[in-house]
Amino acid sequence: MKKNIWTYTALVLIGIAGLGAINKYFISGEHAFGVSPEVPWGALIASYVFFAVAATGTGLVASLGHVFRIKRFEALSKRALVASILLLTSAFGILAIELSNPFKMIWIIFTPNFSSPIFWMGAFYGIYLVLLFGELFFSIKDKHKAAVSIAYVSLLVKIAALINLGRVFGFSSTREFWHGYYYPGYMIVTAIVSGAAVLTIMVYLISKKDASLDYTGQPLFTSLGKILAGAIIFLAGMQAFKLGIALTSGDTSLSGPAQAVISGPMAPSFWTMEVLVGMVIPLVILFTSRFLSRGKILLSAALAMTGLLFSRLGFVYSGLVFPLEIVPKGCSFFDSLNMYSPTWSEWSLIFGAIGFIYLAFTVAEDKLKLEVKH
Amino acid sequence: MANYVMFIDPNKCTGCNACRIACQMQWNLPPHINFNRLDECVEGQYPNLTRVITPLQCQHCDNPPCQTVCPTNATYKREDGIVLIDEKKCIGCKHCMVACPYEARVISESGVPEKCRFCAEYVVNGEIPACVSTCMCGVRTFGDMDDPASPIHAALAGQELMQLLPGHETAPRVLYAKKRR
Repeated sequence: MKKNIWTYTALVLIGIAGLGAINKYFISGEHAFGVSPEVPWGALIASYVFFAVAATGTGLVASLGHVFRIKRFEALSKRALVASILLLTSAFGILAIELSNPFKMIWIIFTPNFSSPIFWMGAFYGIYLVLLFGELFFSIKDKHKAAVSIAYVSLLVKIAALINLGRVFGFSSTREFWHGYYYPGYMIVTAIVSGAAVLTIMVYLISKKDASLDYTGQPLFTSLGKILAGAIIFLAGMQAFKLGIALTSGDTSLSGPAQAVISGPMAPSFWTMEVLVGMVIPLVILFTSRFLSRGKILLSAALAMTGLLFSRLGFVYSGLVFPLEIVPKGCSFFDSLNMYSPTWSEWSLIFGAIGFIYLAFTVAEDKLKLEVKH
Repeated sequence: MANYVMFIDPNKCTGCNACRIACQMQWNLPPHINFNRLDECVEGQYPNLTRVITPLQCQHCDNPPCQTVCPTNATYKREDGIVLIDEKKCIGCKHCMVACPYEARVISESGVPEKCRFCAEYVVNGEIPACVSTCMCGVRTFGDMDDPASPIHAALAGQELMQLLPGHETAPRVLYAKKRR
């Protein structure tokens, strides 16, 4: 395996993430993170969603090859499976550090609560990970019939996992801004954005090495760019609709968080990172390049993923930013919002996961037979 | 089987915080962790202002959202109405903290989202919770609704009662006297 500057950068990021994890488990405990009783979920839950949805989205877009038999996507199959496994492993790793007592997860088997969306989240994503390994195993062994059969089951599990992940947030009526059916749909659309973006980045990284991608490379890039653009436009419409409904609802538990997003403490991140970097600039680049320039499609994908990371942070914080009205009263209770900002430990784990994915993917590319035979 | 209920008359509360400190001492909690708290605000328009204090804690709901979302059933409800946490099963996902409309839970040093236990280990022996016994103004009354001799009956008699956030249909076991302006 050839080592380059990115290899060493990835190792440094993983090392710093290790320090962040040590800080959580052996030094500061919960104080390592910026969470509080008012904002119990923060950047690590957001990044769990970011990586888990990216894993599902990568599988979803890649299923265009295995499940829907679109030829140009078949070149992605094994690599998309590896990327999905690494993204999902990172998501689980981050969740394990976020959880106070991850080893007690064993109780999910002994005393499961079937009404809990988190139980189903563990079940669906656990099954998804097993299916990913199975599909990859049979793909590498060139047993395509078995791999395709697993891919069909996997597609259903992916969709169920995404809808259920939205339910984790939308299930409880306590947090009005999350409550309802919007977020299951949001998860599916953002999965397609992140899936198209991850696959674009992946194809770019390996296109010089794999001759099969030289052959299918350009149409694949164009297709991924179009999927990315379409999903971003759909997502922008959904988000505008969600915020518009909340702002005009006349219900402070809905309009308050929406105000916090567009003009409150979350506004700089929302307008700069989520809207400009994550949506406007990628769309401008994609449409002005007419989906033909590989470099520009790559840039759009990288920007969309960056914007999506901040979108996840905003999505989690927006549900918790507005104080709960526990006691009915007319005092100035709502003048203050629940404040939260990620700590270095939280950032270190997010960047460490990115480093891990890059490093593990290059190792897998080196050690496994991922090329597609023609 | 007992049927425990707490009655709180916020109109009598002076805001001394003795209930919070008694609870912290009872359960050996560090200063930054408390299972009950006082919500204070000022209502009205100057110069006609009223300081309103409402003691808050776990409401020991009959339909507890924290129990519904707990993936391992670490949060459970006893037959006597008390909602408790089995620490050995808690993974620390904090979904209960997100789901609780009363913000009753705080994360402990061991990473378990803890809350008021209605002093479960004490009340079964006929004792009363520390926050109740320490209150100098008799803001809180605790008792067994199925025991005719329980002081809870006298406390509730003639009171105009309310529950917090009835719209959430959590059916709290903490009953409040309506506030007198």
